[in-house]
Amino acid sequence: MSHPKVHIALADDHRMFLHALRALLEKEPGIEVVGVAGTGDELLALVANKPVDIACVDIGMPAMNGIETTRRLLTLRPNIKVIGVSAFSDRQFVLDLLNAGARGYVTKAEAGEELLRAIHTVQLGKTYLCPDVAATVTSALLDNTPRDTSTPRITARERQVLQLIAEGHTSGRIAERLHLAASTVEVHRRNIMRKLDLHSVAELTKYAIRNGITTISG
Amino acid sequence: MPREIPDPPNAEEVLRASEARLHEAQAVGRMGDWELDRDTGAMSWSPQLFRLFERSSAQGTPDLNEALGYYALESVEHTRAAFWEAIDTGTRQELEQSVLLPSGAQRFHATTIVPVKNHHGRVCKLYGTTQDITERKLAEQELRRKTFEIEDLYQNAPCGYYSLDADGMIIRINDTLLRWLGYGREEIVGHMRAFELFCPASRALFGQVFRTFKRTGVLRNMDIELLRKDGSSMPVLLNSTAILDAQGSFVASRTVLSDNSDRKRLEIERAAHATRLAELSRHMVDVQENERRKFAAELHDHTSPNLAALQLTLTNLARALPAPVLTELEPLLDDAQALLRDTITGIRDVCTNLRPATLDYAGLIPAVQDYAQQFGLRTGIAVHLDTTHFTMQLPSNVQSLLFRITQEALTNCAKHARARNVRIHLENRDNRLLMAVADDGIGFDPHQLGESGTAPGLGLITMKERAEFAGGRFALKSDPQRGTEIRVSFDLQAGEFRKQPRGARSSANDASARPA
Repeated sequence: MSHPKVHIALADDHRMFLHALRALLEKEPGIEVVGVAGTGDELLALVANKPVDIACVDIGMPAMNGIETTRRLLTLRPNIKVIGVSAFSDRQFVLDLLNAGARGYVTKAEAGEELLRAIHTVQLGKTYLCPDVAATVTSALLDNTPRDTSTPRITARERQVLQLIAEGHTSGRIAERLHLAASTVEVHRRNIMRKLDLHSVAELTKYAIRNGITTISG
Repeated sequence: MPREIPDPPNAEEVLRASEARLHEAQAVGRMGDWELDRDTGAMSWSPQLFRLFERSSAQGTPDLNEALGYYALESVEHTRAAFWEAIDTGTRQELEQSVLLPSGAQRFHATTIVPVKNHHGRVCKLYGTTQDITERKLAEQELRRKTFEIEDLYQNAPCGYYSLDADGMIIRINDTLLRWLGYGREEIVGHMRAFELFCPASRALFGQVFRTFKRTGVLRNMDIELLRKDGSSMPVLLNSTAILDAQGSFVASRTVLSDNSDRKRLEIERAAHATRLAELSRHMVDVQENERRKFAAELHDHTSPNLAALQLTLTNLARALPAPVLTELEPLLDDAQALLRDTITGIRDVCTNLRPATLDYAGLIPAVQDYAQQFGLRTGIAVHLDTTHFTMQLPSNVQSLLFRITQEALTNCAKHARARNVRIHLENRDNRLLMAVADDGIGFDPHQLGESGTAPGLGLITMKERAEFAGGRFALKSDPQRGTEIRVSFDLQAGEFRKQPRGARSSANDASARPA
């Protein structure tokens, strides 16, 4: 590998999440998790002793929250790039964290792929906000501007479900076909609508046809 | 002119006729006459007298002693003394007696005793009349009893009475009022004016009301305080009517004072009760907010990260699988991820509704901005927020209140109003804090609220109560043409906001996991 590995530190008071995140990142080529911290203070101690390029910081930590931690960390080590990782997607937290000097923000719900995307983006010196957060922050900053038009990613399963919806099947029928509970099909339908910002079956069908997920039949 | 003079009737006939007329008159007047010979003690009774004493003529005329036997005990001595008085002094006597008749009936007699002197000037004979005056006597007794009753009613009624002359001087006052005041009658009647009976604070008002009263003649339910002689006060309710002469000028007043202490005490108790209730309700609201805050924090700090960790674990799991297995299992993993994602989104919405973290972290405006934005995305209704003239720091309970009202108003708007725009206006100007939420929807008839127990009605009632418990005012305007507007205002000069119950503010810091 021509590139040196990017050194990452993680701070979160939620141990399960911390370990799952660590496990995920350690599987990534080009990434090395150099340490994990349960509090802001631990993180400050960690970056004092180890080379860290990027710190992923939870916002809602007890004692010293992620925003304060970010501010202090950047005073100590201005070259570290901070990405906020939080269960909150409230605009004010995002704005305050960015003001404290963070380069990225990812909600915990999107912490898988989105965090990897964020790491790669900030590594290039850019700022990254996950889609959940980008919507609220940008619409607040630039009211009435059209939202990001890049095609959202849907999973293979969602594609299946969308195709069946577009072909006129009911949730019950789709559930039978895919050997799923009807409620799971409903969940897929909700997630698809949310991801694609579509609000009716007609819109879903139109989208499916336009994107080649189904063809007009009969 | 010659006159025809009838023959004179013979004397005996005339006498008999006269006697018959006398008996007739005596019978009608229930009166009899008698004679007593002083020396022999012998009496003679007229026939009517026998009837008065229920004595048959067969029993003969009684002597004086026997006659005295008819009288009730208290009258015996009295009668005897009157006879002796007549004999000794030679003067006419009149007396009333109580008589017990053989039939058991009690009667009252009036007797006149006339002494007759012989030519030596000695009383030798007595004669007189006796009349049954029972009916008059009973009527008199009845009248006395009634008079007494009326007097007693006036004096000892459970209310105070007084009367005033045109100068406001007290001309009559009852015992009850004297007892209340602690004065003697002679200290008041003719010496004190009505205003002196009242506490200094009530006097000016009384003077003013009395002048009007003299013209109108009626005064109803005036709430006023009596001043007792010992300096203490007593709340009374005053009612007056005027006695006017034929020309309509004031002659005197009749005034009734009723003891108002019980009602006053009840009023005070009721007010205290209402205060306690409001206090309790405010406390409940704060408890509710704290519970919501804690619950939201719990979901945020544990449940959501757990689910996020679960998502990552699934991703890790998927990556650990050999490619062929992954291909086979991917749809199932997608299902699991989808379920998790939906659950996480659901929890986030629940948290926002319970209590948005921004409200505690950044305050009302950012919280309303966020909520309005989410609301707009969800419903397609455009929300315009105007806070140009809002510059103040609000106590946390008022922030919660205004946020909840915004939330409720927007929810109603989405559910019922069919509006396209909502304007939220927040300002503090001219010592007033005002929040208004107005939509351009279909409106409704505010009078029909709560009739069917519909959700918006209950929501509005709760909003109103919460605003009032916090010391604010709530107003609702709705019109089918102009949509619905909700206004909550606080008079900042009149003592700001109601204080929070103790403990409510400190627990705002419990959510220590929150950025602070």
